[in-house]
Amino acid sequence: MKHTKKIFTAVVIMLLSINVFAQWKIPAEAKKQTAPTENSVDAALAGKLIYDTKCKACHQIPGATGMKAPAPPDLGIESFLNKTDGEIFYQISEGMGGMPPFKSQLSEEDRWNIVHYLATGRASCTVDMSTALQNLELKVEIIDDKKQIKAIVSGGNVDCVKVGFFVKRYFGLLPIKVVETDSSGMVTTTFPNDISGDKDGNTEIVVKFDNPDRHGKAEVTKKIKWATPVHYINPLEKRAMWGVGAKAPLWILFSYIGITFSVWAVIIFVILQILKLKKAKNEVE
Amino acid sequence: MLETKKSLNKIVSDLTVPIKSHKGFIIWVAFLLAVMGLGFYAYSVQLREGLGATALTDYISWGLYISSFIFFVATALIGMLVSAVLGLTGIKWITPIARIAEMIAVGFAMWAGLIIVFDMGRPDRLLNVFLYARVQSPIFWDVTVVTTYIVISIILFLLPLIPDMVFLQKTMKDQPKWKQKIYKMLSFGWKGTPEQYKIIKRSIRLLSILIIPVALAIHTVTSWLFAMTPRIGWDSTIFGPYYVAGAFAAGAGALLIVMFFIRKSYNLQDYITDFHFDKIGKLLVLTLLVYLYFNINEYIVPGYKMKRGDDHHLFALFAGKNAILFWSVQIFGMILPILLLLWGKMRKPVPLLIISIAVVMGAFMKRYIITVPTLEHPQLPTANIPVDFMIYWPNWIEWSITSMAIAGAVLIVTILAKLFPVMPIWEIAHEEGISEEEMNNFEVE
Repeated sequence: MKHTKKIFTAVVIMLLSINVFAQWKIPAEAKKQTAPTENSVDAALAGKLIYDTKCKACHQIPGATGMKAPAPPDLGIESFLNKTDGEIFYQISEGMGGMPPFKSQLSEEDRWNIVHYLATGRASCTVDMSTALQNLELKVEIIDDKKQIKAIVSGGNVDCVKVGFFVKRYFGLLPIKVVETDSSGMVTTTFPNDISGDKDGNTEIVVKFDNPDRHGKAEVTKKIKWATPVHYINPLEKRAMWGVGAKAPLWILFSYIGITFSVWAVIIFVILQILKLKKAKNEVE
Repeated sequence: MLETKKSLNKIVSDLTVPIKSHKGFIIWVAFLLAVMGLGFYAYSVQLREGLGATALTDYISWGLYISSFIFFVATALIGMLVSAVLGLTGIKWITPIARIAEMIAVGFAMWAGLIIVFDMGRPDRLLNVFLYARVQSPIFWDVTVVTTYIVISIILFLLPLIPDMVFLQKTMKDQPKWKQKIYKMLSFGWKGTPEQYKIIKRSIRLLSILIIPVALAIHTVTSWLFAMTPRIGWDSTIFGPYYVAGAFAAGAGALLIVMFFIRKSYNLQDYITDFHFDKIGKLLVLTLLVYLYFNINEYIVPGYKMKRGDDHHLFALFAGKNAILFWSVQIFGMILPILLLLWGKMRKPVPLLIISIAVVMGAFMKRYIITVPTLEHPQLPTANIPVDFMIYWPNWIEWSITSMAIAGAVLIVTILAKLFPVMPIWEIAHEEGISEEEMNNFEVE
């Protein structure tokens, strides 16, 4: 076992070092390739989910470290952001050195979605790594008539803050959208119409950003009432075998009470008879 | 049945003198108390450390305790079979053994209730069974019927004692005060008036009828604790009658053992004769045959189909890790006793004693075979389970506590047999043709 571990570590280091010196050789046609799908917020969000499971373990959150070397680099650095969509897609598909090719693991759409996600940093935001940590503030406004949620980031350089909108569910937060702010620090998102709430359509949304190196952390929870109302029938509320004692089926309740009562009535009758024995003695005397 | 006519005085003295003699009694009780003492210590360890002190795990959570519980309930059923079923059909020869059967019923039913408490990691929460009772739960039904059966058995034991108390009051004048007080209290002012006889006979008859469904219920519900789950090996529609049939066999065996020792130590050869042994021996072989029939059904029906899951379970029983225990129980506890008991020669007291011990031990281990192997096959697919989760063998704490329960039940039988005549004097006298008036005017010679 010890040997296997050593060999494994050696191989990994080797692969990594190859990568540092390796140059990406990308064909000219691949560089020119453009995405077949539009870079929508949904596509970027889908890409983020894949990025978080497939890429983040090595590349971290884009812009979090700003490290160019050793590989794998931060994907928020300027040299990376200058790449074309086609170049990034090719790199994801074919891999290089220590990075495995993903074309067999991920569909073409998934790979483009990752490109879209990485592009959200590219198109609108240039990451300024010189900015020190600033604890930004977050305010959330609910626009009821439009079913919109507006996040307002303030308190410093509010450009390029990645704000996430979520819905609270039983076992965690369901992401709706992740959007980056522009220089105004404001982002607005429309609440999707397929999110279920309680029977009156109430639910809670959570808006937050979490970038401990640059913007700090903030989270705001708000109640909204435009989720799809769901009339949930709790199987525990009707009388059933699996219910609590008070929800016992009537037939079993009456059978139990009836049988127990009858049996004990006879027992008590017999006990009373025994007590009558003394009286029976007196009658004779 | 009793060859020569006996005088009332002889009957009273035959049945009361053994109560006064303490030869061997102290040693026997000391032995039982010692066994119980060990069990008591084991229980104190279990109380302190919880069920973790036992070999039970969260996979095999029902082990020796629950097996013993079924065995105790089973044995207790003999009271109903003898005094109610046979009694109501007008069979006269049960008179000398009905009370012995009833003593077994009282002793074993009481300890059956206690064993359930031993199987609780937090017995202080016992009251929650009632506070948060779910009428849908077979466990709640079980608590109800066990309690009811204990009460009926005690009353059915006490009722035929009432007329005997007068004889005891007259013959036990040399005995300690507390004993005399008990006799006086339990006589309920018995004078032997026709009205009193009418009340006693009517009450006994009423309870004898009532105890049949209650006794069937107690053991059927006990089987439902298993059969109401969809688990392999328990998911069976014949579990109720299967248990009841097994219970009668176990009870008849236990009755024969107790009969043998009471007859020997109390010199009651004139009352419990070879005739009685022959009859109860026949009852035993009958119940065993019925039980065999249910066994064939219980194993051949799933065994023929070999559904997935059943195959593992049945293989473990027939040829796998439980095979030795399974076949020992089936052969020595059922098949061999049936074959032997078909011969009249084997239905004599001594061979019957040996066969009965085999039947009772087989009955005890059979409950284990029903309870544990099923739990050794988990319902859901599992992975990476420690090996010792899948293997169970009771540790010393469980053996000690179970021994305490057995000793405790035997102690109750011993004490009852020491406090009261083991047979109803008045009924035996009645069968001897002694009139009620003669009994009322009884004086010690």
